This record gives sequence, C-alpha cells and structure tokens, in this order.
Amino acid sequence: MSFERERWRQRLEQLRREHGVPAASLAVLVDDEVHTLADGLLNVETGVAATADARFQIGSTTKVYTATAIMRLVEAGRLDLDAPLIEALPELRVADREVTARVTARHLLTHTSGIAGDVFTDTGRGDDAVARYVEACATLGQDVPFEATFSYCNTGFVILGRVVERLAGAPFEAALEASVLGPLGLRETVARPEEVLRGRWACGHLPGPDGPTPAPIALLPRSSAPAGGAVWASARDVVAFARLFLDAGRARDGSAVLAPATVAEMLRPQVPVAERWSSGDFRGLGWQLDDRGGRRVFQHGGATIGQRAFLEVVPDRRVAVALLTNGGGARALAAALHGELLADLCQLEAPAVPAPDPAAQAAPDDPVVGVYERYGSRTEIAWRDGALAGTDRLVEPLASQLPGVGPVAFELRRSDAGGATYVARDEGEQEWRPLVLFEAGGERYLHTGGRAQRKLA
Amino acid sequence: MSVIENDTLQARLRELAEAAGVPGASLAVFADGRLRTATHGVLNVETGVEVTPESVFRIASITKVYTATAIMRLVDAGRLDLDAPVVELLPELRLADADVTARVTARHLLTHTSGISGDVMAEGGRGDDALERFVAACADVGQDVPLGTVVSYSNTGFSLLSRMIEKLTGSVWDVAMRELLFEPLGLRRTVVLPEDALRFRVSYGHDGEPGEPPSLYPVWSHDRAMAGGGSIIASAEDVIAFARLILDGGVAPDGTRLLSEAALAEMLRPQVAVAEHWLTGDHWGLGWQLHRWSGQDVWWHDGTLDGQYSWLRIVPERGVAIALLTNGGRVIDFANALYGELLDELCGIAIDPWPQPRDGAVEPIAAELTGVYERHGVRTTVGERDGAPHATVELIEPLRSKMGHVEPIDVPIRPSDAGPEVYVGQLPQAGDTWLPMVFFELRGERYVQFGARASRKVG
Repeated sequence: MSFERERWRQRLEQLRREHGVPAASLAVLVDDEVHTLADGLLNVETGVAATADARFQIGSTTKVYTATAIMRLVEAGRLDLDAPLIEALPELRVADREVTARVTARHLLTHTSGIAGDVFTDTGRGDDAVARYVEACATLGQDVPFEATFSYCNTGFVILGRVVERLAGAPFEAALEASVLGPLGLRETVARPEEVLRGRWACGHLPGPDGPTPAPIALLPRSSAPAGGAVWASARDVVAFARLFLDAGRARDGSAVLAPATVAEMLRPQVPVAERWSSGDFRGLGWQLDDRGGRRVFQHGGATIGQRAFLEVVPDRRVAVALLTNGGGARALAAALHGELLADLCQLEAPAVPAPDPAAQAAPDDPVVGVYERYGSRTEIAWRDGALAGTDRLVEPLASQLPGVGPVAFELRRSDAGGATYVARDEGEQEWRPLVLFEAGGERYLHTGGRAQRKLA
Repeated sequence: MSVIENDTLQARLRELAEAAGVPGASLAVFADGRLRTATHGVLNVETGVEVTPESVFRIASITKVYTATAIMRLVDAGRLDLDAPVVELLPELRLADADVTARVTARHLLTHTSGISGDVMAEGGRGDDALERFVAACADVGQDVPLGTVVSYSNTGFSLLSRMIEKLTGSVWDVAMRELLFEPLGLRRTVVLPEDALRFRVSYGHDGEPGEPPSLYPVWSHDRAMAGGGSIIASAEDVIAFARLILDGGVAPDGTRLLSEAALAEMLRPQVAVAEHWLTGDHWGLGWQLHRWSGQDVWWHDGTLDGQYSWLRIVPERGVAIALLTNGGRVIDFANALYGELLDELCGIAIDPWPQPRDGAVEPIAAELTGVYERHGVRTTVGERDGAPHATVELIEPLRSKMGHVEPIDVPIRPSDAGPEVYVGQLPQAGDTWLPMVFFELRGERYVQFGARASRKVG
C-alpha cells in the first residue's frame, strides 16, 4: 500500500477536466505521510492556479470542527452532553416548549432534535450574528418530532456555535481558533475573509452559459459560521484535522486535544440513518459513520456557494482523503476519485448506489403515495399516468421567505435496493437519488438527502 | 522615446520598483484621452501570485476623496448643508469638547480643520452598526488643535462624514457608496468588504526591517468604522475611472451628471492653507489636497494602510490622471521618482523638492521651539540628544491604554534648507528619507506639523 503520486496526479487532472471542475486540491494520508496534489484554476477569471496551500471553503465539514469545540467544553466540565441545553444557554427558545426544555447538545450533534434544519437567517456580519440567529429561533418549528429520527439540522449546529461563544466569551471564529485550530496547529485554516486574503484561495463557481462562472457572492451569512459558513482550509489541513481522530485525540505535537474516550464517543454509532447513501449508516457526534461490509468509514462533506468539500477516513488503514473543489461536476469527481483511491489504498469498495428496478411493479396503492411535510417544505407523491411521480414545493413559512424557489417535479421508481427504497429523478437532472420510507414511533417518514419528512394522514 | 509609451512605462516602473524593493505595483496613467497600464511584481511574496492590471489593492485614504464626492452629491441634492452643524444630522454626537460638538460642520471635517483627533482606535466592529457604534464611542475623543484653526489630518472626521451619509441615505456606508458612486461610474473592481474582494486578485501589504526582504504585513485590519476614511479596495484602472469623473467636470462615462459644476468647483477650491505642504499639498479643498507646481494645479490624495501605499494625482489643465498602487518597499522614494517623472514628461511639471538637512555643522534647535507638543493621545518632546536636535514621540492617555505598550519613537531632526521654521525628521520606517517638520505660530500658540498632524505646544 503506497501512494503512486504520478498515477494520481494524472488521474486527478483527467477527472477534473472530465467533470468540468475549475480547481481541485487533494490531500491523502497514507503510511503516516500526507501527499498533496492540486490542479486547475482557483478562479477562471483571474487565472490563479491551484496549489497545495490554497484555501477552499469546507462548508458543512465545519460541523465536525464545531463538534470538537463542544467536546472540549464537555471534557473541561463546562457542558453536559445530556443535560438540557437551556442550562448552558438560558436564552434558547424554539416554538415547541417541550423541545426548548429538553433538547441537549447530544440531540444537536446527532441531528435528532427534529428542529427545522434548513434555516439560514442572515443576521448581518457583526459579532452578534450567531446570537441574533438563535434569538430568531424562538418561533422556529419542527421538521420532525423531537427525537423521532435523524434529520440533518444546520440550525442545531448554529445553536451549538452559540454555546461555544457563550462559554468562551468570544465570537465563534475566535473561540474556534482558540479551542481547535490553534491547538491543532492548523495554520492553513482560517475563519475570516480578510485572513483568507493572506494566502491563495478558491473562488466558488456556478454554472454559466460558457461553463463555470465565479459566484457573485463569496460567503454564506455569518450566522451560519458554526454550521459551515466560515471555515476555509487547505486540503492538507483538513487531513491534519481528521488525523486527530486516528491519533486518539492527540495533536501532531503530542498534546492531547481530546481524550481517547471522547474520540471513541464521537465515532460511536449513536443513531441509525434510513437513507444511508447520502448520509451514512449512522451518525456519531458530528461525524457521519458508514458501515462498508463490516469496516468503518467516517466522513463529512460540505457545500457552500459553488464550493464543495469531501473528507473520508478509513481508520483500520489509517487512511484519510480530503478533496476540495470550486464548481462544476464536483460530486461526480469526488465519487470517482475517492472510490478509486479507497479501493487502491484500502481495498474498500464503494457501496452500490440504488438504481431503478426494471422488474419492480409499482401500483396505485403503493405505500409511498401520500403527502409528506417538514418545516416549510412539502412533498406530494401520487400515481399518475401509470407511474409514481411527485413534487417538492415550499410551503409557509418558507414559501414567502424564498419567493424565487419554485416547485420541482420528479419521477419516482422502486429501486433495486429492495424494501422501501425508492429512487427519484428531478426534472432536468440525470442522476437518480435514493429515498427511503420508514416507520418510527408510530409515524411514517420519507428520508432523502439527509432530511426526513413526516407523512400526513 | 516617451516614458508613457507602454513598453517604456512598463520598463521604468519595473526599474524603479526593483531599485526600491517594492514587491508589487500597479500603475494606470490617463493622458491624451488614453489609458495606459503597467504592473510589476507580486501581490503577495508568499504566494507569488503576479500583479495584473485587474488586481485590486487597498487604496486606503484615497477613499476620502470618494467620500467627499458622495457628500457633494448629497449637497447637490439639497439634503446636506456643508456649513450646518453636524449635530443637526447626528444629534447623538458627543465629543469631549462640548463647543466643538455644537459647532463642527461637514466643511470642517472635509478640510481636516475640525481639530478632532484623527487617530482614535476605531472599534465599530464588523456589523452594519459599526459607524453608529463608532459615533457612540466618540465621547472621549478630544482635540488635536482647536476647531477651525489649522489642518490636522483626521480619520475620525471621515468616519463621522460616513455616518452622515448613512443617515441621509438610510443605507449602510458601503451600500450607499455603491449606489452613489461605484455603480453610476461603472466601477467593476471597486469594493469595500474583504469578502467582496475574493472574486479578484488581491494585493496584501508588506513590511520588514530596512535591508531585509519584504515580508507579509502582520494583519489585514478590518473595522468597518474606518469606512470613508480608508476602506476601499480597487484596481488602478478603477481609480482612474473615478478620477475621470473629476476631469470630466462631474459627468459619468454614460453622460449622466453626478456632480454639479458648482459642487466640483467647491471641492477643488483652496479652502485652507497648509503649513507643512510637501507631504500634503499647499491647500486642502473638500477632501482633495491641492498643489500648485510649475504654475499648474495638481489635485491629489495618498493612501497608507497595513503595508499598502497608493497615490492619485490629477493635472486638470492637461487632462492627466495617475494612479499608483503598491504593497510595500521603500515606497516614498519610489513614488516620488515615478510620478515625478510622469508629471515632468506629461505636463512639464517639476515637483518642488522636499526640504533637506542644511549643509554644514549640526546646529542646535532654536530655544523657543524646544518643549512639549501634544495632540490627543500623542506627545512629541522636542529637544536635543547628543548635541543634535531630536524629538521623541510617545503615546499618552487616552490612547496609551487602548493601544497597549508601544515603544516611544526617536526622531532625529535637523534644520532644513527650506527656511528657519522648517526642520526635517527621520522616522524609523521611512529609511533614509527626511520628512518635513514645520513649526508655526497661530493666534499666539505654537504648533508643530509632522506627518500631516498638528500638535500644540503645551510646555
């Protein structure tokens, strides 16, 4: 098992071109050595070339960093994972009073609070941005009932970020620097735009008529910092972060950043996930956990405005792969490259992705037919013209907040993964995405892309 | 061969920049109705990314003439009276001096004659309320010099003007500027917030010990309360596009009139004479520094911030504008040489040389000039050391406790060849360059002006 640099250099370049990704930066930990490759342009307009030290936005991968900051507070005895969070954050309010009283840090770290998760309220760029976001949660409803199931929740990580701020007495970015980035020696990881300007950085690209075009806006609102809006890093710094979880919580300089028991707890399956292809079989604390034929992979990814990050770790081989990209067909690039790397370095096969099952006969009374809702969003599935079909649309209160987002129709098929696994293809798309119908606590849910929706009647 | 032929311009820029150890520079020259550009070096010595004509730099205090222009648009619209007390628009304003609070006007602020201490530490933060918070924190800001007396360069004044723009437009300052100026002028590479610069190639500042290669400046400071005093980030080409509004009599490229002729004339009318006129111009207009060299008007502003340095020069009679943006090195010598050559070549202007130490034996400083001079938070003690004239500049309260420990600066000074009141001093960061230090009397008080700031003799 060794890293054939020239082979992967060629493969990265080939796949990057094939998938129209402007720039890709790859870091691979293998045999206790970190290998880096970078290719393409950080910004197609300025023409600045990607290098191994270039910072990209890591998006929701930040959630594991936030989880690490939270666990350091737990270790310091300043926060109890299983105590009502309102003890540490007395101003916490959501619409449901029982959730307000009972939600814990563990619920938020495992995405099981059920609190509406896709809320990106822009509360400005001041140091009070996260605090104001949390204040604005007072009227926020549930995607799914409290503790019912895993449903990906950005909101929960912003609330956790506020806990970090309150206990550190500093804005989230400064608190993260003091508790995670500094102790780990991550000098190519920054959390403020003016610090990004100190090195090379990637510009996100959005689809344009002549290919990827630099995104007009670089940053998500500052309120989303703890969930994925703030952190920029080089690929090798992302691998350096992941290494903490291979080294039982020790930084490269030997200092203990997390206790071994904390690392084990963060990587312990805490909650199963119904639709596992997009979100892993289980959630740990922050981490997404995959079971690949009895072998464990832990990972997280992230997306911002035109940038995507992918981090996968195979602990039994001490291999970590981080790929950072800035537009184009980044997901397909990552699937291909990670698949090949993990097969070569770890003899690990990528899980088969569900596809339509040509043999399956759907019927008008298929159990998936019905109406599903989460906060501000509704999916309707019906039997139409001899086939299953559906529509995703926004409803109140999101519909009036996001007037530009129209309904999306999709085809729906039973899949070759069997059971209650379906695949949908959204209008205008090529790929099929999995959906899983499941029951929990006497309710039925449809789970796709990390989000659960409850079946109405 | 003319220096403004593109190849020559490029070669000359490179030659002078290399000689002065300048890491990166972008030059744009408008003359004969034509724009020429030249670039040198890198945006950042660590990344090695090269400067291009599209690259953006912090233009720092050149921002002040943009702010002045926005203010004059509001004057044109009848929404602001330059001579009305600022407190009418900002009733929350409280300065240390109640009389100044009641009487200071926009004209005082635009001409740096408010006397309000200019170098308070802005602590407005990153939010949209930064200027509001800045104004609320002005209550302990004292005077460098009395209101309406002499020019003493004041960043504070331009933060106050920025807050006035917010009040009048109902928009945060950077949005107001976009609407009042950047968009009407078609400035595509002119931004304020660091995140808005991420689409471009961006210059980073450098510093370093004399004789050492330049290294990255320690920080890119970011406080939004600096606003109209120095927060614009722009390409040299865009600075020229702004300058053309002034050259073109207030009319934008699409023919829209953005400033009345009267407003433009008022901005560029000498409003107050300046004692130390080598660094700053003989007079101040509204925002603009006004010089008369070789019988011609030169309108200008410079900028310095976090290791980035910029110069804007306009010669209206010749239709010439020069924008030079750099990121470190021995910039004073470099810029004087470069725009000196350009002004000579394009306009036949010979820049008055800066005062130099007088030849001969070192003479003691005149007894009546020795003593203690103060402005808000800064004390300059003029005396002798080792038989030669010398000044020590140190922080005092209220700045001392705000800025943490800063070592006093020793400034060797010498009589100059420019007259008995004009001395020259050497700042540690300016290398071998002697900077003018002018002593003068006004209404029975003695002042010294050094680095555009005036201090009053207190003992």
